[in-house]
Amino acid sequence: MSPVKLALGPVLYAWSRRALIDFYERVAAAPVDIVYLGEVVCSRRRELRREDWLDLAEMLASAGKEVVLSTLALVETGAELRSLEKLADNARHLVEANDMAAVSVLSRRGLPFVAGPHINAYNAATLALLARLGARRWVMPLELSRASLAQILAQQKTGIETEIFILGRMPLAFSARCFTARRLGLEKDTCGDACGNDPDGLLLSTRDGKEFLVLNGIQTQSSAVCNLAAEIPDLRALGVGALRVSPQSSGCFEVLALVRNALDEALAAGEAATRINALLPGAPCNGFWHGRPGAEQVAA
Amino acid sequence: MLSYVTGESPNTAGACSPAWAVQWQSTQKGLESRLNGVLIDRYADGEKAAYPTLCKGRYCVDGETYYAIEEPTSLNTLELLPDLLRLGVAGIKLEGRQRSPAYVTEVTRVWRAAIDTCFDEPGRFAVREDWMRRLGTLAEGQQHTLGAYNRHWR
Repeated sequence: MSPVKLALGPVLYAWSRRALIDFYERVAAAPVDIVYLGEVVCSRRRELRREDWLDLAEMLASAGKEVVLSTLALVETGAELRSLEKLADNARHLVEANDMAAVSVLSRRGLPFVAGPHINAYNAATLALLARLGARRWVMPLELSRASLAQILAQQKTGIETEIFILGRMPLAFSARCFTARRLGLEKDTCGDACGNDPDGLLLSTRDGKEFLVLNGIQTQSSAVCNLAAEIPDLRALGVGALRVSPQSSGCFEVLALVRNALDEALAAGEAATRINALLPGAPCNGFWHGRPGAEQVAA
Repeated sequence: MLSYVTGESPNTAGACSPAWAVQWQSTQKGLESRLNGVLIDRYADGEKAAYPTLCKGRYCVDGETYYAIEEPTSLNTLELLPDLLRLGVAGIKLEGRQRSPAYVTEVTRVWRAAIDTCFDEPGRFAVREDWMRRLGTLAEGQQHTLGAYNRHWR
């Protein structure tokens, strides 16, 4: 069995240019195998331009990382579509398609791609279709369970590689509206980069004071933080090829090191999960994996 | 987002805010609506309470309590009816799930009348004030919106 790879998902928040460059300079030296790069949430975030992202991609590839360029999850305008086409036409790196417009652009060019977590692949037939269109890896939608994964993998014969989102605040929904701009009473089209002040998004609580969601521009995330590190032996046994950690503004490199140790069996997975819990920006959760409401934390 | 709270979402179970997860509770602070235990909203005396749809709750962000995701307004495309017919739309879907029999009765009545009127004289169709008033009393927050139809495609 080939070793399970450690993947770093795209930064989902509106970090400053300096913060992004510093972050990826550290990533180059971090024990990750795959790095997803690019803006997934909002095309108005322009701290880094396409050339800057490609420079980072070169830097990370030189450091031995597999680089994947991630596309927007909600393509709404002609300009965004053209930008998607330019991303597909980069001569060197694999692209992660995060909506079907990207799948279409990539498959028409005969390019292999990663079907990202925002593509609705909920069964083996859909996976087979994506594989036919050129997907060589898929990231399972976050709300699917271990049981669904086992069933899909048992039914699919494509040889496509599976990646599982195992750590981070979970992207739950995308909207054409911007909730960060709404909070500030601004229009989405003239938001003045409203989300640039929230490196981990805006915490939303219920009226009885319980942390519930995180607003991140047009994306809604869970406030609880997915932690499936304890499941690493099981993920390996299921034949999963890569595990994704989603960046947060603090603790990310400590988390990556602990996951790496668990993957290398230098640390028991349960122990890694416990230590990771102390580094997370919110309560841990693993409900989706166990077929429960995603916010729940099911005891081992 | 819904499966995060209830374990069931439109994608996995065809469900938005499934009925089994809905709870209403009178408390000292007001009438509380919950979805699988999560407080979606709390209503003062005299405030109209709505079905606890996750995206139309009132939540707290940065110390402010408001409709953080969506206003509780109802989509009403009545004025677009002649355009929809001209474009070849053959069926209209009205929301019925999560709604009362009284709501369904009144809304279907108004739309039936509007569709019949529009078919009879498409060129002279005008939204009647009493239709809008009748729909208005049933709309969430008594507010209407054209929703995404307001926005031009770029």
